Amino acid sequence: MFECILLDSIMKINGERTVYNIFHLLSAKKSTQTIQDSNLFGLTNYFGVYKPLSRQAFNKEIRRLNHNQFITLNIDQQTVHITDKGHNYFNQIKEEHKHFFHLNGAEFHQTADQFSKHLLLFIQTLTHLHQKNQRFIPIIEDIETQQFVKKVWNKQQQLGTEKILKSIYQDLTIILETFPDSHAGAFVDSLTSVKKVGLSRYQIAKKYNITSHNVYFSFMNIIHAICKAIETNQSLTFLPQLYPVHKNQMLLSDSANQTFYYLQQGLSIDEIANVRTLRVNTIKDHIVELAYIYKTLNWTGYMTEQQYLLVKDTLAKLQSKKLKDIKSELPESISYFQIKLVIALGGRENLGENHYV
Amino acid sequence: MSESQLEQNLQANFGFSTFRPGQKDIIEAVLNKRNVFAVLPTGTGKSLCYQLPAMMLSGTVIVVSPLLSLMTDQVKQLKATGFKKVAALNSMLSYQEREMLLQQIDSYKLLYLSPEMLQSKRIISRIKPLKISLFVVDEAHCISQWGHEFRPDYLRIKQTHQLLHKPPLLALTATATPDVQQDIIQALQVPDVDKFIYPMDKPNISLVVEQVNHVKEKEDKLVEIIQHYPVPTLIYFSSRDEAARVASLLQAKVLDRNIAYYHGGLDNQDRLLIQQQFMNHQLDVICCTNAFGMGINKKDIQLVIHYHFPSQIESFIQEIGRAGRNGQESVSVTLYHEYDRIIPQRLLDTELPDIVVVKQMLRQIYNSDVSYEDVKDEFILKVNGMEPHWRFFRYQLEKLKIIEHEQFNITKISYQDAVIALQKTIEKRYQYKYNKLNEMLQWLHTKGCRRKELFTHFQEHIQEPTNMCCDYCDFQWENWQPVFEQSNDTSQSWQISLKEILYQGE
Ligand SMILES: Nc1ncnc2c1ncn2[C@@H]1O[C@H](COP(=O)(O)OP(=O)(O)O)[C@@H](O)[C@H]1O
Ligand SMILES: [Zn+2]
Repeated sequence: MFECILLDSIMKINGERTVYNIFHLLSAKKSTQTIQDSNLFGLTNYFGVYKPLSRQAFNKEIRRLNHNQFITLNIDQQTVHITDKGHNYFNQIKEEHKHFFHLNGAEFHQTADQFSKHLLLFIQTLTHLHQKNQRFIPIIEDIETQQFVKKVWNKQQQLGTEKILKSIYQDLTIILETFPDSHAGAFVDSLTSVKKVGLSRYQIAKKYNITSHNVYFSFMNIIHAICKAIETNQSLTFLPQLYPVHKNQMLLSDSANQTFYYLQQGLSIDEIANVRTLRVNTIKDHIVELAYIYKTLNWTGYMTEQQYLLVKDTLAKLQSKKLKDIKSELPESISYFQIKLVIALGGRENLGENHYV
Repeated sequence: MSESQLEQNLQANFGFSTFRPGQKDIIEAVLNKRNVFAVLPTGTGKSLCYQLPAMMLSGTVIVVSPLLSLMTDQVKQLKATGFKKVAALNSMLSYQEREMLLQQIDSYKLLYLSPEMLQSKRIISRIKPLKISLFVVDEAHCISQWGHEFRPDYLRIKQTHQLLHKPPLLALTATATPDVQQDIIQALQVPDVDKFIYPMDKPNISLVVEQVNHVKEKEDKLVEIIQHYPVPTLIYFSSRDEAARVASLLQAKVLDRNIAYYHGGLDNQDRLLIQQQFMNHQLDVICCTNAFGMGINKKDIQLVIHYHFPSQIESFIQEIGRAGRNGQESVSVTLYHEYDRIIPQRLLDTELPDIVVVKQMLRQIYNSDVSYEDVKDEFILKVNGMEPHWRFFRYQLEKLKIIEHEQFNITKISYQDAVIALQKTIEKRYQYKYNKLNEMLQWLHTKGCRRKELFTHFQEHIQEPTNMCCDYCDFQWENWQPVFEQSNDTSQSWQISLKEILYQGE
């Protein structure tokens, strides 16, 4: 799966950004730039789907793709292109995955992480309590998760462990049956109960003969599927209880969020920059980021209708996503900010469609 | 406190019916507000010596401990047994967690601190008003410059202890030669100490060294041993890659055994899982680096193999001490190849900062108006992020009074003298480390009883072994017949596994 995601990203970015943008995308460095790019290139699904990814591991994977001639490294050593061989390979593995591919980073990059921890710890806790065993070392160390699980248990314990076990069993079975046996197997192997401590990532990798990256992805993919099932009210009985309380799910950096607050208060770009002691350009970037999410954002303060339409038309004509190319087609008076804003506002109609696939 | 009352407390809080040797004497002295220095071998239950008093005394027991993971393990274990008034204050906490903890600091009966926390004025000021019933220095050998794990941070302990108006002190360590013991007591400056020194040697562990001539021979020997003795086993390596490599070699050759590796390069979650699997009898063999073992309480390990030997006898004794915790007949085997010495030698050579870097940085301090922070950043950059190198450098400059309160003062000593002083210190420490390594090597080449030779530095009297002694005296593989229980690892469909995990029918 990791290969599939990397090749897809490389294909869509088509050498217009460095490979590190892909790294930032997967590991969810929530910067304005990363978020804008993920929108621009239609890669929001992959946002934050692999947070523990290290730069070294990422580099190694890129080198491997290069070694296998799936991609070529451009002379700058920073950007890459997919090869024909890579393209064919991508189509082939995409076909294998498409029936059970659920990753949706834009929607679940926060929820999925939390939910998976809740689930792992809850199962460990529940099976221990079922065996009247109060003393154990929690498999998830973070305190927030421990408190969440405790709360859920306090709320639900009147149901009794037997009933809850059964519900969870049924819920998980419904979901897992839609996956290949190896994925379901790896998922079950990572659960910890009173009888059995879950397998570590590298042990699962060995057992199923897959890379440890793919252990992570196949696990997270199932978690995303559960999240989706919960969000769309499918007939799961207990797992929704473990779903994190809704937080700000939108693909928005915290900083842009603050800018949004001031915009709503009616402050101008300069004023916001002043209040927040940030550069004007930073605030402009925030506005672009906001425009991706709030399509109804009022842009009339930033350009005339004429300018808007001019940019829009140019975008429709041009193939390139390189801002420089776009800008050179337009009159001097149109700024980068204005171009980026139009892309963001009309993004999906004009450019969201991927014309590389 | 009457005899049986202490035992009742032990039973009620820990579920143990009797004390291990040493514990009771130490606890009694502690409860009588004596200052105590105790040497208890690894695994004999040092932590109980302050945990039980923490539960019995009014006020707070403070424990300074350098091992973050050990600290968090103990907090977890205590909480798991129902004692909740315990917390650990260390650098692993997030800002919020630390604030929360400081807010309610007076609600804890047992508070673990890492030594660097003692530097924070804020933390000290929060601790100062507490009623401190006992001040514990765990791993006290870290305070001795001649101890095998000297930590400059530890030198602050004395100061903190005085700042807190000298509550009763308990200094604990597992290994210390007599001169290191002397050094510890001196460094802590507590008058009138009760000393409790217990022997390091474990009479139930046989000591074996097997000399090999090729790497291949080493691997073969290892495979043979693992095949023959399906007991819970630890195999120590000096490199992460080797631990992982040999683990997969063993997996391929010994099919009926569950084998994994463990080292500091794994992420937290995986480390936790592997440890727990080992505890839970899902694994029989762990190939590990010295990152493993701290805080591990597995009682049924019966075989400790050194695929590589450590760079000093103290570490070796600690590592083999993980075997036979219930007194079972256990074996320590070191597989020794002539060239193995190169590995610890290489490691030693990178233990202290390069004198060239030291000189460069000193020159900057003396010739320009650099800030403490800048020097710190640049130094750490120059030594490839090796934090201990910086700590060493900082400590040395503090000793020479070039650093005072995180500010440079170049009036106390000339640049030339500072360079000479540092050079001397570095040389001396290398010399010391090399001597340690040589001791280890000498032991590997011993021509007499290994037990006597291993422990002579630490104690005068050596206990009579309960089983075979060593390969020089009487050890024969065929006479080692440990009883064992095999781990269960079943391969089955996920549907059945899920049913089992969640108790759904049979
Ligand atoms: N009196 C006792 N009876 C039985 N087990 C004990 C006793 N005291 C300690 N233990 C156990 O011995 C193990 C090792 O204790 P620990 O304090 O971690 O050792 P050390 O710090 O000396 O290496 C722990 O599992 C502890 O629960
Ligand atoms: Zn002997």
